[in-house]
Amino acid sequence: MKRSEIAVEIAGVDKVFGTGPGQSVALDNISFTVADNEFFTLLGPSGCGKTTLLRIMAGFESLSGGDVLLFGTRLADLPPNKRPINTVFQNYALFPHLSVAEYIGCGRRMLGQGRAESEARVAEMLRLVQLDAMAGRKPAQLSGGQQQRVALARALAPAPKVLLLDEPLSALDLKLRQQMRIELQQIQEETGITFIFVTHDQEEAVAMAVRSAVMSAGRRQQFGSAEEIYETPRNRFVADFIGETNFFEAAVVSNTGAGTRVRIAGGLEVDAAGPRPDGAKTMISIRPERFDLGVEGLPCTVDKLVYLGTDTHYHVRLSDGTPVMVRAQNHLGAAHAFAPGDSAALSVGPGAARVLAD
Amino acid sequence: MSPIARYPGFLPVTILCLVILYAPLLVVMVYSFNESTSITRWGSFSLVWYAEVFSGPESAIFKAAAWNSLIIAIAAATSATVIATSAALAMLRAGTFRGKTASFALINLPLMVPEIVTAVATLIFFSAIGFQRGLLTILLAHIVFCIPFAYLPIAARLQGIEAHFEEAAMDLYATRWQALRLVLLPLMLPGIMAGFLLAFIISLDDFIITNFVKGAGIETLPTAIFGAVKQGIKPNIMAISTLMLLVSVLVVTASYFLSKLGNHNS
Ligand SMILES: Nc1ncnc2c1ncn2[C@@H]1O[C@H](COP(=O)(O)OP(=O)(O)OP(=O)(O)O)[C@@H](O)[C@H]1O
Ligand SMILES: [Mg+2]
Repeated sequence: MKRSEIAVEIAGVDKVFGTGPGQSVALDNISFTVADNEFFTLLGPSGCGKTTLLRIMAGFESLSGGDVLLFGTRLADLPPNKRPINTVFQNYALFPHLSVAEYIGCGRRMLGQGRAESEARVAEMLRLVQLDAMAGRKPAQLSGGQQQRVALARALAPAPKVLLLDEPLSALDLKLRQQMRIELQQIQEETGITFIFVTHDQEEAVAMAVRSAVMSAGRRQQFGSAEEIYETPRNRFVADFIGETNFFEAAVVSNTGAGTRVRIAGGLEVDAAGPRPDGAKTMISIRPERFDLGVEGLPCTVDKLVYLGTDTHYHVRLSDGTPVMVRAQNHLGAAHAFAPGDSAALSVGPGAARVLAD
Repeated sequence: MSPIARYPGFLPVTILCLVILYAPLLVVMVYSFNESTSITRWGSFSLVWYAEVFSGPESAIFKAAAWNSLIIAIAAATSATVIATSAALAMLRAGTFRGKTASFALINLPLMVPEIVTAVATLIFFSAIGFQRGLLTILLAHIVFCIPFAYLPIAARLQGIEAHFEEAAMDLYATRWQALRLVLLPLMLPGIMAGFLLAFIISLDDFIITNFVKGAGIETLPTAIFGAVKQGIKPNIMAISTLMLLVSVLVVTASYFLSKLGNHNS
């Protein structure tokens, strides 16, 4: 990637709260880059430091180490009001004393724009988030979804270079959330503004982003496209956090140029991609949908099945007692091929197993 | 009946307290409309004592005293409110700084120091530095003891305003000063108004400190009333007292509703 295409570069950012024995490390050497015009997601469980990282980008929190660059310029010395970055806050932060239109116009006015110009922009933003009819209302007179749109509109109105969104959809119900996801993506495409979208919902991250960074406990775990992160998780945390998977302790059978061959519980031998294991033992991950439940292969018993409409989850047990989760698509006529208590056989296609670094 | 009313003795104690608190006030209010010159025997209903207050032989003294009280109360409450607002912003929005706990104690200490001690100390202080006693000494003393009263409702209000409002303002390119002026102060306004009114009332009816630090010949309403009472109680004193009570009740009620009003929209 050319340097000019990088909108935001997070370079070895550290953040330590407090001093002495009471201090806590919120961010530990985080690095990644976000391209211009990109829809980027920052994904991680609660408390992993996502909000802290956004607040550092916006300028509300100081750095303990490292650097944040915006189009190659260091941000550390700029106060928040001098950064061409806007935030959609986790709790919206609507001003109770301003109407929707006044609030959306706020940023433009602060930047010294005339009344007429800023009013035109407010009207444009209200149309973009479909709140034309609500211009005169106060925040207390809006529903949660409408408040969310106001928060988005007021952050977009000053046309920032980068928009930071801190779990903006977490307070909405499922239907509205799905609708807003699509709207957010459309707005991002229309405006061409770089979006950095924070979420703890892996499904949301995968659905929305071109690229993501996965964090846990203040550290970057993986950085790449949604597909890369799902298909080639670097470590056990990522494999577990993104989607569902089965972990197996595996014995290394051969470790040659062609790849790693391992043996897992029940004597099943598979080829595993990923980093080369050092020792004779390693940890591998196989996604539930990569197993085939049929009549040929490793013998197992079906414990339980969960019918989920598009597919069925089977909880099966190998002959040595190891539990395995299998997900089978419900083709026409294929549903419920097995019932609890049935004997079946497991097989694994090529490329299904993945060696995990740690 | 609510559970508390079931405790034995609840009703007699309540009635006793109410009577001791409010019966004297009621008597003063009722007898201020008494036509007779006696303060204990009822004649008939009349407004003569109110007329006496505004046009009787002592009216000049009372008018001058009322103006002094009003000017001092407005000036003292305004200054105390400005100082208390700044103090609240420093205590609650400036992060931690050296001497923060000490500052907090110092702001609220005047509430706990016996008023007579403050009065004597202030008098000694003004004499020691050779400050001519007059309206200005009253004003300075009033500003000082009004600060904690203005501080309490303002700080309570500010505490309820989350920091993310200022951050949102700065996110929208406001400078710190603009964030304060356009976002924080409007949100604090009910608390500031309540603090101002409380300080106003406290200043308006202060007697002890005022009596110590006032110059010769300068009176505020409370000291003028005290002076008049020393000559013997006339019903015109009751009329003045009733008027002051009315002002106090109006201001305190306004202060109460203002602080209520603010809590609703956040
Ligand atoms: N001002 C602060 N002082 C001390 N510790 C803090 C402060 N702010 C955050 N932390 C700590 O830093 C860590 C990261 O917090 P952060 O708010 O960034 O998490 P998050 O990933 O946004 O979580 P969530 O998904 O719940 O919003 C947490 O352990 C938190 O307790
Ligand atoms: Mg957060």
